[in-house]
Amino acid sequence: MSDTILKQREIPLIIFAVSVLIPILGYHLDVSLLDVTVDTFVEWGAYAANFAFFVGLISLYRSQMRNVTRRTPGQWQYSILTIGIVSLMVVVGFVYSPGFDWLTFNVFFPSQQAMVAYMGFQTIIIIYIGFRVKDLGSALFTLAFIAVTFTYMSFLESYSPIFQLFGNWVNSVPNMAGQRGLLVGIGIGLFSVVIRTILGYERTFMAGAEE
Amino acid sequence: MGLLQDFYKGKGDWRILFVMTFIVLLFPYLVPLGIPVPISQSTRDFKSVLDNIPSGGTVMIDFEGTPASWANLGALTVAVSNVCFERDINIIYLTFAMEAPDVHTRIVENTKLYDTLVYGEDYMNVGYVPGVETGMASWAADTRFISIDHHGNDVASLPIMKDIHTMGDLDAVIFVSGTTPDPWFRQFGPYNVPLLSGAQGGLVPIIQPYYQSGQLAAYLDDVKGAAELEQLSGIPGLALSKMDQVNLLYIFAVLLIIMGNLGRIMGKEE
Repeated sequence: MSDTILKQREIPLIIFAVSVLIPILGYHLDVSLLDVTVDTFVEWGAYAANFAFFVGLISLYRSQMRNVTRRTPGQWQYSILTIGIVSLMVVVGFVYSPGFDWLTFNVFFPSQQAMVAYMGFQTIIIIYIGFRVKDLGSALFTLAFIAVTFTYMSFLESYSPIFQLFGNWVNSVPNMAGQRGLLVGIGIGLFSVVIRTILGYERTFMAGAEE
Repeated sequence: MGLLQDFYKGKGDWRILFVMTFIVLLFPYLVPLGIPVPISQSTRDFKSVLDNIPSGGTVMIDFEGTPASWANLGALTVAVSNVCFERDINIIYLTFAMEAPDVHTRIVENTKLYDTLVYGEDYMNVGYVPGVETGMASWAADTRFISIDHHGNDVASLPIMKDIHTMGDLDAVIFVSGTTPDPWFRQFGPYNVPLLSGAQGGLVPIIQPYYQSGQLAAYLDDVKGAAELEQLSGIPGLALSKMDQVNLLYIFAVLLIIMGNLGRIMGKEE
């Protein structure tokens, strides 16, 4: 009997719907007990996020160990490296804080910056290949890109504001219109997802859920 | 022109472009050009909000970048921190991004008045607040939600936190981010605290509707905005030193587009 109850799909749906409904009601209703409940829910969410990070770490170890044990071609060597580096940072972080700081500032920081620098050079290739005028659409796209780029050239602005007129218009009119439309669309979409969740129609968060 | 055709057909050596890019970036270091930096309205508004904060006030800087974004967002945050410390405004640094807490340390170390600052009085580093929007909502409702700061100190015992219990007790909130700004407006907007943004260049079109509507008090446009702030406040720093490179790089990008299309035209003529 208890197994049957626990396996009911409605239980996680109810938990999810209540979790969504309580903060919404707390926002609109001025009830002190509801406020305390909402604050507690929100705090629990932050604590759960920490556990989610812990679960992610375990998943990382599992997936990388799978590559090592199966000797996945072209991958298993990097998996050993990944496991080693993650383990080193975790252990050093707990055991020797100055060592963790040293690794962060002298290994992690330069590595990240080198990766971004590499992407910068790739962006140069993309700019060279991507902005080729083949038709009206690509011509307008290229023109808009150049115009907006002019707005970032401060020396042009110091000579005359005329260079940035078109770029500022692109930012202020078509871009603004598009962004506002996008924000409205996102808001409506979020609203519909919340309603579907509360009513139990949204089940994608449930593993193996059937419509 | 043969070279352009080769690149158009995909046969060109991309290392030539890489070397040209490297020269463009290196040249201003060797020969500083001192390209003028006019001040935009959004930067003036940003400075104006900071100027209206009384001496001894407290702001929160939420740096959402990573070490990879040190060159632009890091320089921007240093510029803002310099203005705040110069005006005796206290700063609470925190982040909802895991990699950022140690960047806060580097930001403070790069400020002009670093040697005179006292941790816990002039600034503090809350560190990483987990949960993104739930973390934002929790910290905004109760700033002691994170009870231990990034350096292991009891948050409630620090002098800077004496009168700061919720987000509403702050004089301004500055979020420096390379991602969509919606969560900050959703969670921090209800507290009626001036929201300021340091935005990565590609995000400026996204935050402009919020600036136009008044939800965002002001913003700084990536390195350019940071350089403008440094110029406006009279505290030159990392951002102003990069503006020569930024200008030359954008000129180079426009020339690349022209070269790419020339190569295509030459290729078609064959």
